[in-house]
Amino acid sequence: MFSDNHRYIKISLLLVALLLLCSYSQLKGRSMYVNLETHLGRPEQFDGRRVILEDYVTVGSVFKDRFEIEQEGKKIMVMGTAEGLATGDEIEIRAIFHRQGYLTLEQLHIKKLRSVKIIISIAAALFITMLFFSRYRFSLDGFQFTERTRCRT
Amino acid sequence: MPDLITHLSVGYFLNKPFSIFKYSTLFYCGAVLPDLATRAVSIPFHAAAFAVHPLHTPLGITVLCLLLSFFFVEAERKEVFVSLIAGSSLHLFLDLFQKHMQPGYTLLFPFSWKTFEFGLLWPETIVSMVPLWILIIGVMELLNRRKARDERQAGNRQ
Repeated sequence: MFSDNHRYIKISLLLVALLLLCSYSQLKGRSMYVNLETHLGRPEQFDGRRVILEDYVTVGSVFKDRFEIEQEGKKIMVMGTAEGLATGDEIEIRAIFHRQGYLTLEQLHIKKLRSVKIIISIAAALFITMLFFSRYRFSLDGFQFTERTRCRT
Repeated sequence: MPDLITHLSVGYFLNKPFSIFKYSTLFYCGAVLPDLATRAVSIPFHAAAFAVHPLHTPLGITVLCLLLSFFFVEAERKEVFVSLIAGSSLHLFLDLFQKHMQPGYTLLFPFSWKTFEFGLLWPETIVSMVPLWILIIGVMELLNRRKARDERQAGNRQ
């Protein structure tokens, strides 16, 4: 299985398998995905239903008893309050959708450290990339990575 | 996802004391691979999130690790794959401890879209522990180097 026999055929087959998985996921996933745009586009269908929005949801204006959220360019007012909520916060929210075009808040989670998480993850990714290329170099002869030294750490 | 420093740290805590993996660099690469293959695309390009989703599932990451192993020399390929898949499995396992409003991980993809997670900690809670991981790794590295130096000096005396 791991031999060099038919290596390029094996690589091609694995690439095709990955492409099929990714294509299926994109097609099926997009058809199942329900976001704020879906709700605002079909308000009668989603009236009174619970909605969970957790990806790319940011807080717009914050008032005493309500606040505005935005997801992928679509905005909606949410009735309810949460402690510590501020404009620009990224949040996850569970709420009831109303066809009049607003939400009633049930639960909210503020992703306070998300940007910190992304920044330190980028630092870790750079570190691991440097570590990898300090151990391996890519050889065009054979089209594969080979160790720079005999020391395997 | 927990941040990548947490993923790397847990990998380090498991691998360093016992030297489980011959190719530890690749084990660490595996520990960050699922996020590198998906979040690096889905965060800047939201629309592609589903396209890269399989690379954060057990089957997808297995195929990816197998594919990557074919870009290493034949003699090392099997161990390269084992190191990568072990790191990636650890990554997926750790992710299950996170909490989301909509439980998050499709472990049986593409056969099922049912999601599962243990849901113990918000991802942000884990981020706040990063300084602690770095401190522990620093102390472990210091002790390891001191031990190696002492062993070298003892060897020289003999």
